[in-house]
This record gives sequence, structure tokens and C-alpha cells, in this order.
Amino acid sequence: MASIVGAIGVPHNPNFPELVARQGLACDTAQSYQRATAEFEILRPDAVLIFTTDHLNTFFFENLPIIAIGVDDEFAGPNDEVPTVSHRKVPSIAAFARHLHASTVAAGFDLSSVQEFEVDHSVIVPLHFLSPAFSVPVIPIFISTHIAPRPTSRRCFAVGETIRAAVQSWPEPLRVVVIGSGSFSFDVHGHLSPPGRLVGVPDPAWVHRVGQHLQRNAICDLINEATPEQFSRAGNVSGEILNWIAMLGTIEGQKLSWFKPELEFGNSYAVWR
Amino acid sequence: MSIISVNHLCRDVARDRELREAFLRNPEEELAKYPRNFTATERAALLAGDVGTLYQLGVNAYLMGYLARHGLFGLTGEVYSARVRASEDAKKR
Repeated sequence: MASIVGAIGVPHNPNFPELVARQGLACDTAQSYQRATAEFEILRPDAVLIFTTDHLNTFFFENLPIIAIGVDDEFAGPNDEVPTVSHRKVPSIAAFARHLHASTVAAGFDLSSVQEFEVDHSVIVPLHFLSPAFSVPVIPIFISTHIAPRPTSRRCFAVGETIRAAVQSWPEPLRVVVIGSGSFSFDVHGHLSPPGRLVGVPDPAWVHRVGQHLQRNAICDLINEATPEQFSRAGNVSGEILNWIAMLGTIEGQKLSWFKPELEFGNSYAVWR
Repeated sequence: MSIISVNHLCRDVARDRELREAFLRNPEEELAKYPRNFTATERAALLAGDVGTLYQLGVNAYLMGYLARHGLFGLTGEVYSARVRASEDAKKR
């Protein structure tokens, strides 16, 4: 039987690979990702599930699923600009993804499936740091967290719970690590960015509060507060916290073993194992 | 409703360097050649770099910001920021 052995929450800023290449391994972002990578390696995953949000690169307004799962034996990315990171193939496990898809639909969640797809920086940047050989199979689960109407936080947590049950009903003994990808407060090209700037962190207090909830394991409080009204204050990509909330739904028994906020960028790093 | 055409244009110029350079050289001509339909309001707003109007019309900000990042339609980061913020302030009044 497959099992979820740990969960890792990370940001996916597309400039982080270039920033680390330029500033070196002593910079904060490099240090944070090195720690997360060390934890990832301790978990020895056979497969990764990543809850993530496409930035209108894989999907577009003609067809914009609320939640979708990638079902294929490989995919490629990034299909957007990620300085210093080359386009590459990533292995996946179509049979396992198909099982997760069928199980979640049977449980009442209407996930779309996508085949022959590419992914953007929201998948490739976490993998660039955590699994730089890109050798561990990865199954992306895309949640539409940027564009209203978003799924509710409660719904995302429930999807995570259902994915956990689906993983546990897979007969092969896979060690599965779940990644939640994204920021808590960030605005890209919107009116909440600071004057004269194209990006910014509009609500650092929310980043701090999310961190408090995670460290107290107050997941119900986090779910209750992660509302459309909160996202309207925290920036136009702040709904990415929903990827973390879905990840939290997959956890059963694992404890928070490491947490590091990065207020400058409106995000945090965390590991449960 | 054709606002999706503006969204397509923003993504296309972000991804396609040749298209972007053509728009930088001659925005009016390239907009006329672009294979999607725009309303008169959208066309005028694009050519004027009036991202405030486009923002209120519902163009996705994540995509629209690429116009400023690449200096299209006379936009800079500062100009873009000022226009988007002003349009949101005006909406609240």
C-alpha cells in the first residue's frame, strides 16, 4: 500500500533560481531551500504529489478547470520564463495518477484530467531545488487559486483528505511526499503592489498569522480565515495558500518539523514528517 | 465580450520575442494585424497604454503587467503602477 510519508510547503517565485545563482548558497532563499531539500531527501520519496496553481500557461480562459490532475507518464516544463532553468522532461506515473483521479471523482470531487501537458514555474521551481535531478516521478494537481471563483478553503482541505485515502488504497508500496506550492501574500502587476512597483507583499500580517496557525496546528482557524475577502487584501496570487491547505488535508499523523517564514517575499517554508 | 483577446495579446507578447519587437516598433500596425477582435474601447486603451481602463474592463493583471515589463504601448513600471492604482482608487470613489 502506498503511504504519505511527509509534506513540504514551499514558494515558487520564478526568479528564485536566478537569485540563488547570483547571490550564492549563503543567501536566505538558498538556505531555506537547502533545508527543505535535506528534509525531502530524508523522506526518500518514490513519488511526489504537488498541489499547485498554473499561471495561465498550461490553461487559459477558454478552459480553466477549478481542480485538475495531470495524468501521464511524463510532462515537460517550464512553459514560461524561469531565468537560468532550462526546459526539461519530468517523469510521472500515469497509472497512479489515473487511480487518484478515479478515486477522487468517485468520492464526489469533480476533478478534470489533463494529458500531454506542460507545467510552469509553479511546479518546476520547487523541483529545481528539491529534486534537482528531476528523477522522482511527480503528479501535479492544479488548483485554480488566482482567478475567482476559487474553490473554498474547506473544499481544498477535503480534496487533500480524499487524495490521502486514494494514495492509501494504491496497492504498490510507494513512499509519497506531498508538496504545497505558493505564497501567502503576494501581488503581481495589480493595484495592491506598492506605488511604482510591479510586485509586492500587501499583507505581511496575514503571512505572520498563517505562520502562527501552522505552528499551533490550528488548521481549522486557517481554513476559516482563508476567505475571498482575505485574498482581496493579501494580493492577487495569495490564493496559493489553498495549495498548502490541500496539502494539509493529506497529512495524517505527521508533525510540523520545520517552519521558516520569509516575510520579504510573503511566503514560508515548512515540513511535516 | 472580447476582453479575452486582450488577455491573449498580453500572453503572446510575453512569450513571443519577435511579436513583442514588432509591437515595440509599430504598435498600431501590429494591433491591426493581430488575429483577434478587439472593441474600439480596448483598441484605444491598448494604443494609449491606458491599463487603468483595461484593468477595470477585467483584463487579468498578471498578464497585463507584461506590457509594462516589456515597455509596450509606452508603458514603464512606474506608469503602469500609477495607472492601475488610480483606476482602482477611482472605482472606490
